[in-house]
Amino acid sequence: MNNDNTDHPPTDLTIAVNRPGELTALEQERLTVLLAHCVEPSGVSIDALMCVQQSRGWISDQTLAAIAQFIGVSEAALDSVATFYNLIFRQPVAKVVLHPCNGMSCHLMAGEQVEKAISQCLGIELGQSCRDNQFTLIPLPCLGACDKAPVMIADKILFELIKVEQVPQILNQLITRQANDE
Amino acid sequence: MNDPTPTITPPSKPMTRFVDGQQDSHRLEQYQRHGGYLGFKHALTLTADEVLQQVKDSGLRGRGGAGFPTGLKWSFMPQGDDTPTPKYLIVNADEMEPGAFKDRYLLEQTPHQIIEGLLIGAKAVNADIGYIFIRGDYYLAIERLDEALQQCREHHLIGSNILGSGFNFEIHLHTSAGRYICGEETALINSLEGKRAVPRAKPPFPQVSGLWGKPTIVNNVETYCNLPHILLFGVQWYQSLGRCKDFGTKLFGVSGRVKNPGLWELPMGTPIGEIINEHAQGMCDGYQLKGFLPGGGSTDFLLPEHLDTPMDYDAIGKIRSRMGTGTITILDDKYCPIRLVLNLLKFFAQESCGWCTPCRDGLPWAVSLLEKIERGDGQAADIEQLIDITKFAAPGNTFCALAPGAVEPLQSALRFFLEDFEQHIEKKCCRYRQEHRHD
Repeated sequence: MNNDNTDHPPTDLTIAVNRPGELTALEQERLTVLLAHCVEPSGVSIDALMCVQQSRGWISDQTLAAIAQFIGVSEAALDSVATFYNLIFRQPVAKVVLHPCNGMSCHLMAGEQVEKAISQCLGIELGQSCRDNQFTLIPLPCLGACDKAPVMIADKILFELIKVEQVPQILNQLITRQANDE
Repeated sequence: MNDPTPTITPPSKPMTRFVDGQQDSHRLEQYQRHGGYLGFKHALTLTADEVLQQVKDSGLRGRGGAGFPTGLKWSFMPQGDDTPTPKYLIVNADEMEPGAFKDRYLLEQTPHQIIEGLLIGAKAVNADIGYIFIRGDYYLAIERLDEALQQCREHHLIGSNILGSGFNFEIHLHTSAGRYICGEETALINSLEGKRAVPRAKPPFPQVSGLWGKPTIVNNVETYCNLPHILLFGVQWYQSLGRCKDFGTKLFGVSGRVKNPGLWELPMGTPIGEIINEHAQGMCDGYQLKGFLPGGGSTDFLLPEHLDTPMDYDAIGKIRSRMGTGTITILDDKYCPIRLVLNLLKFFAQESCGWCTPCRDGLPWAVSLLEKIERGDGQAADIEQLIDITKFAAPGNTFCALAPGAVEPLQSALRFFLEDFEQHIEKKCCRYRQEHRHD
């Protein structure tokens, strides 16, 4: 898989971007801590993937191979785990992943219109990323805030009672937050 | 910890009394101001058997949805010097049931209540290690639990020789990487072992051979939240709370087109109509109640004629649905019931782990039939096929409860809203889409 994120490298991990097949010293350190606390090496599989993804945004083939080798499980076994879980990304995602809720309560309260508004606003379909690498749009099932439907999680913030006309404002807020973080 | 023991009047809303009108209910000081950890301290003065007996006597039933008696579940944990160790006790905080939003509230508002419940459980079954398995998208809850666990370590409430009692118990927080099936207890255990979250065959039951092959018990967040109060105020008080054969209080919620959607702690057995019309203040102007799911996306639809039924496990069971999570979802008269069922079936098809055929193949098949009917391309035979799928995915044909749960809203929609299905097929369109343009 090709990694052409070089326009916008993760702030503190240029190595992770340029050499996806190598784990950084910090990542190795974190994985070592995980391994020390687990009954069997395979037990850290999910945590290891999540931990490395935290700095890289997603798990490339080369990164997966490096993690597998480091924790001592086969690549196939680790990939079977990586592809099973919703929050482990095996393709690049943009800086902010938008997770509008597509649970039934949100849809009952016009959540589909919110999804559509985001999609139109950004010019992307569900599952796609913007060209400027700002947003990826991946709806998630019920986010457990049904009394505040429709809702969306992005950048660890829960947006509640979203109205279609608020969508541009929410997206701008997220862009500003992201810019401030950088 | 030498805090003065406050005198506390037995509350009518034990689980949410920490939260109502309070800031910082998630903080240790606030929790203790209202009697937090007194139930656990009382448990420390009892033997494991005595604690277990109290929980059994209370009649507490699991709040995850199935309603299995908690004390009975715990009694299957092998005890004695020759049993395998460590023994694990797990909090299932992987709330992802469509329409359920009660655990998030408890996790965010009262993390210490959950920890205290876990400690009491550990005392009762002689567990050594606890895990809180939490949904990865619940960021605020994760942050607060993390903080709460840290506070507990500082106050010697977890770790070795807790409060000088000689009792040892360690708690770890595990953040899930996401999948509905992780809420199934044996799938959850596989996930904790770093594997794909596919369910395991039972027997052996987790109590005998669970996490890493050791004795393991998994309970829901709200179940644990009941325990501190049972220990602190006693069994008699607990049983006085219910309005039916089931005891205690329960978090009930309503979402959909009602005036005041929300969550309330009410006596077990509160009538459905009271929850919808008084607490949720009835339907929004211009909307009629067509039906509702009483306890999440995997429960059978009920109708306005069922509003007098008390919300308890047995009463809802008698009218062919389940109380489930106790969070009611309203189907109004302007939303196409087929569209709602389609939303649910898409979810269950996506979240199927793929382990067994009725679920892996049956649910996507149901989705394609429902899509066909919803867009106006359905045929009469499609209804027969949908009915077949509900039988194909019935309990006993699958490893776990995902597929049987998934077809509950479908089978009851076919029973109660058959006219809507037939109309879609006959008129070759969706009248809701034409009249109310909900897309």
